Amino acid sequence: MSMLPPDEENRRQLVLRRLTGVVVGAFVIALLNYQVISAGAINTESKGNRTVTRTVEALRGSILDKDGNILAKSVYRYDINADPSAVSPVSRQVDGKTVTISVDQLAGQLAEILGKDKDSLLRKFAGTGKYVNLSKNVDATIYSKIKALDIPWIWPDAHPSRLYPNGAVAGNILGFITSDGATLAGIERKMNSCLAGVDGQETYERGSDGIRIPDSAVVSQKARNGGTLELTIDTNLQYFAQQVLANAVNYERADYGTALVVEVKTGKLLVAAEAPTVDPNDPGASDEADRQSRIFNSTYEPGSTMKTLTAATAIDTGVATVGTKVEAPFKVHMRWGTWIKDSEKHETLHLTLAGILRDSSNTGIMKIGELNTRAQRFEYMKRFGLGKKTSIDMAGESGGTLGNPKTWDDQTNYSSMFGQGIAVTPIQMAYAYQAIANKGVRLQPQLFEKCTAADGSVTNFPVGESVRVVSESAARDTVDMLEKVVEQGHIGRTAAVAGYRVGGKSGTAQTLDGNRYGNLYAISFIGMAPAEDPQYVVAVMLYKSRRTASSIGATPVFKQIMQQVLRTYRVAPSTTKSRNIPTEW
Amino acid sequence: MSALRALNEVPEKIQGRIGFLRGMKPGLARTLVIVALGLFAINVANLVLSNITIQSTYKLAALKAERNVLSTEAEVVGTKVNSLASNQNLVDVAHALGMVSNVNPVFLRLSDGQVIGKPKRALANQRSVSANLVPNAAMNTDTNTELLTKNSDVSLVGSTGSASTQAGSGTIQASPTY
Repeated sequence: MSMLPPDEENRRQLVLRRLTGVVVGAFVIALLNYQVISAGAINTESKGNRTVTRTVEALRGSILDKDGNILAKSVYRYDINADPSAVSPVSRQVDGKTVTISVDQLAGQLAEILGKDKDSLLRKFAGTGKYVNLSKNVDATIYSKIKALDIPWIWPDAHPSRLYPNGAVAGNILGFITSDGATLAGIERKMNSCLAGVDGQETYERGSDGIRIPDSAVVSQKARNGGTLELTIDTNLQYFAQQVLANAVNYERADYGTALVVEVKTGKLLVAAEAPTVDPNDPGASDEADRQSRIFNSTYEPGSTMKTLTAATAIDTGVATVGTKVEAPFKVHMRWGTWIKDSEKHETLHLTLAGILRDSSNTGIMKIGELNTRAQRFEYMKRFGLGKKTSIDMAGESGGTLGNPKTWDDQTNYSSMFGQGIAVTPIQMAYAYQAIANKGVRLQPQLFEKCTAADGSVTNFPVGESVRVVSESAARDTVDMLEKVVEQGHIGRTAAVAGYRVGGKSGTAQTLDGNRYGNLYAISFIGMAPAEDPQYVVAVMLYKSRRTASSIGATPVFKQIMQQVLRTYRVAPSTTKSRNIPTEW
Repeated sequence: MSALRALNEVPEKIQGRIGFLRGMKPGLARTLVIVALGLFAINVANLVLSNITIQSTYKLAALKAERNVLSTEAEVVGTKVNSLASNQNLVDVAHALGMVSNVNPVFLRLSDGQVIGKPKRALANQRSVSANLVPNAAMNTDTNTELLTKNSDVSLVGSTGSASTQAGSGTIQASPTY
């Protein structure tokens, strides 16, 4: 009950109301200031303090073989980090009871999963900083195990990485990328425009504890993943060829070997095998020289496999036929003072052009080759695809060396007829034979089938124009002669595949040792089957074989791969016989 | 109708109790009360919606976390499948089971029954590839060949025309081919 007079009471109430009004008014003004007048500035300042912008990494596209098998794909790898300042024991529920796991025990568990030494981890935990890396690039399996430990002061940093599930299968042509995403070689580099994605950007807000506020992310630029690249490579056949080739390179103690399988009628490259090879998952495990694709990048003097091209040129220009008769002595003394010899001593032979190829006579092919001008032969070499990069234009690809026919010395003019004095790449020679197998038409090598972008749009790769190299009849004659090599040739016979008509030619080429020819050879065999209607070309080369100094070291590889190719693609055995053409007179 | 009537009556009762409304015209006082009630209702609705949104946000965050876990699991399983399906693993398994590549295939020509090629035993010699020569650092899982060998006793049960193949502990229905 109030003891004050009514006027006094009213006056005090009035004062109180006014004071209350002033306070409320002050609050209202402050509220207006924060909510309306300065709201924009405060919001901006606040957002600036809690907003984080980060790059959303786009995933690189996959590389598939012709059947959709994965040769390369993107996966996540994780860097496992710790916050030493927060290291402490962890409580866990075990059988309904709370159990405390000591730091020492946690270090032991982590060490076992990461394959590290426990003491080294404990030393890292002993720091006072907020960050220490425990392990880099661990896979999802290890990441899952670490995550299952549920240690609050351990956190992973995820980043995209590259996985090649089949290891070194096609490793030399696939190339590889570095941990920071740089493409260093092969298809990864060549087809980067298809495979690489475009990174995006997102902004999110974090609380005062630095933790991301759920659902606060605003994507300012969406990441666009890379496209899927399909190749013409047959993974299973590729693996088989690599196995056979690696076995041969080991057996022959060769520097390296290459083997290609070409689908004659499409120009598709089904196999591009090399040994030694590189596993793109671990390129550092291979010598630097073995990390490239020698099929595209390395040149060699082809030797006697070149005689096939010299013979086809002569037939196509009309200066010779399969039956053109030649006297082939063991050696011929050239007017500039050197001798051109055959590989084995013999009496003068009476050979037809077919016989020259069968016996791989240097002196014989020289007499056929000189029926054409050097300009003509050079022109045909170019038409066969020599002296120029293929349309694939692989990273680091070589075009080979033909030189200039006008400046060829006499020795080069003649030795080029049997594949010395010029340099080619393995893929060039494979496609020169593809032209002969394909009725005289050389197709551009096809390695890339298509690129499917993340949005589903498909880009097909234009295949370069085909080239008519020799007439259909000249090509047929050449195949018939190559068949005689495999039917009757001393070395060629070892390339025969039971049940099929096979045509092919061997090569045993001198190789350079410094600036001079040494005593090691590039041995090769290139052939096609079935000869009545060639479907596949197989080209094998072993460089600097140390066990076998002739192409008889290459024919078993050719035979095994060709057998497997014919079996894989269910090519029916031949039912006809080879053409009867004379080889001697 | 009764709600409208209540709205007409309530402001008058409130007007009598709240000082600054006392001198006002009833119409103006009613409007102010309705606006105040409206604002209150909007705030309550806003609060409810905010709660629902926050709950959805946490649910979304939980689902995203679950998606990440499942993605990781999928990646782990996918990598295992890749590893098991790799040429290297298949060749290792084939060799462990005693398989050797035969480099001498033989054909039977159906037209005249002629055998093409010379049948020879497949032997693991220097010329046949017996070991895995193509490295694969991505192989983190391989087939347990011991288990495979132990469980390779395959028996066919087909007395009623439906065959089943028993391998290990599981029973796999064979295709109904006759």
